[in-house]
Amino acid sequence: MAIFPTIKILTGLTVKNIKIANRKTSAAGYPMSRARATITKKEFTLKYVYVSSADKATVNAFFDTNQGLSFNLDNPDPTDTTIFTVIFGQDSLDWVYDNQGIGRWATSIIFQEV
Amino acid sequence: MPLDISTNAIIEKNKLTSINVELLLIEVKYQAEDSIYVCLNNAQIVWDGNTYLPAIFNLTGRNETKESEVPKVNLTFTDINRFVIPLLEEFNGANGAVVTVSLVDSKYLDNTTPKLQEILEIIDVTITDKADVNISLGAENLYNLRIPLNRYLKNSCRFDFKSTLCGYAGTETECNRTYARCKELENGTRFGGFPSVGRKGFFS
Repeated sequence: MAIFPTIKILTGLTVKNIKIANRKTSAAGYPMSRARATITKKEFTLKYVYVSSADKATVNAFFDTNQGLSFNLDNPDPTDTTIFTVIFGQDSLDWVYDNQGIGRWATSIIFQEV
Repeated sequence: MPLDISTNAIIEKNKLTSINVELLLIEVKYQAEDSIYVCLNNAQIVWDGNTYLPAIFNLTGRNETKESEVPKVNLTFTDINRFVIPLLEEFNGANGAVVTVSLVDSKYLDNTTPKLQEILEIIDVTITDKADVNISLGAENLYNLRIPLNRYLKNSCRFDFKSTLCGYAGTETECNRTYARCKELENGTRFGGFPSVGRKGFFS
């Protein structure tokens, strides 16, 4: 299984723990809820700035090859060595070029655990 | 038929909030083929010795109409990888396959008595060009059955040519099911029609 490449520099990380539930309010006003799945899944949003053109090309090639497939992602949290099986959570990679500073690229990528 | 569920399950059912998941499990059994086990969950479940793989599907409630149609349940899913569609085509739409739908509690998976269980049969399958599969589950419609099974015809044999009931073992390859042809093949004593039935029908 492919491994998402290590790109510098990771400047932001958002981790969502997702466990869905059914909710309903009774006629008497009591909320009722019940878990809908047995496992909590994670969603990672990785933010990169100052990405070189070479790294950008690497990520684009990986996206082109693996969109729709599942692949491995090393936990972006450096204190945890867990490897997650994920898919891309978006249909496009949006790159923003910073022409004011050192001329690097910035992007944000969403990964959903499967 | 009401099931004898455990006290724990009754308590769980009556809670307003719970971490336990009511898992919908489906077993599909087609003739002598291996069963398919799937569950509506994001992880696999082991229940009653079988491993149910996670799947995304939708199961509608029982559908009853004023037209007195046989009630049925619709099982729909998208076969995005086209794993199931070839099987449905290979096995003639899997008509007649037995589908067992069970509702179990994720906390009491060691209890082999489900909260609810329905045993249904695949009666119709529709596949769209976008790989959406719609399976109708229900019971066989008795109005579609031929009752009585056999018709009493004066000059038409009921038996398939060279079948066990026909008994003909000669070299001929065709039979038009008439008594004349049966006598010609020297098999008249096993003729499967009813030559003495009158011409005017049963009520005359």
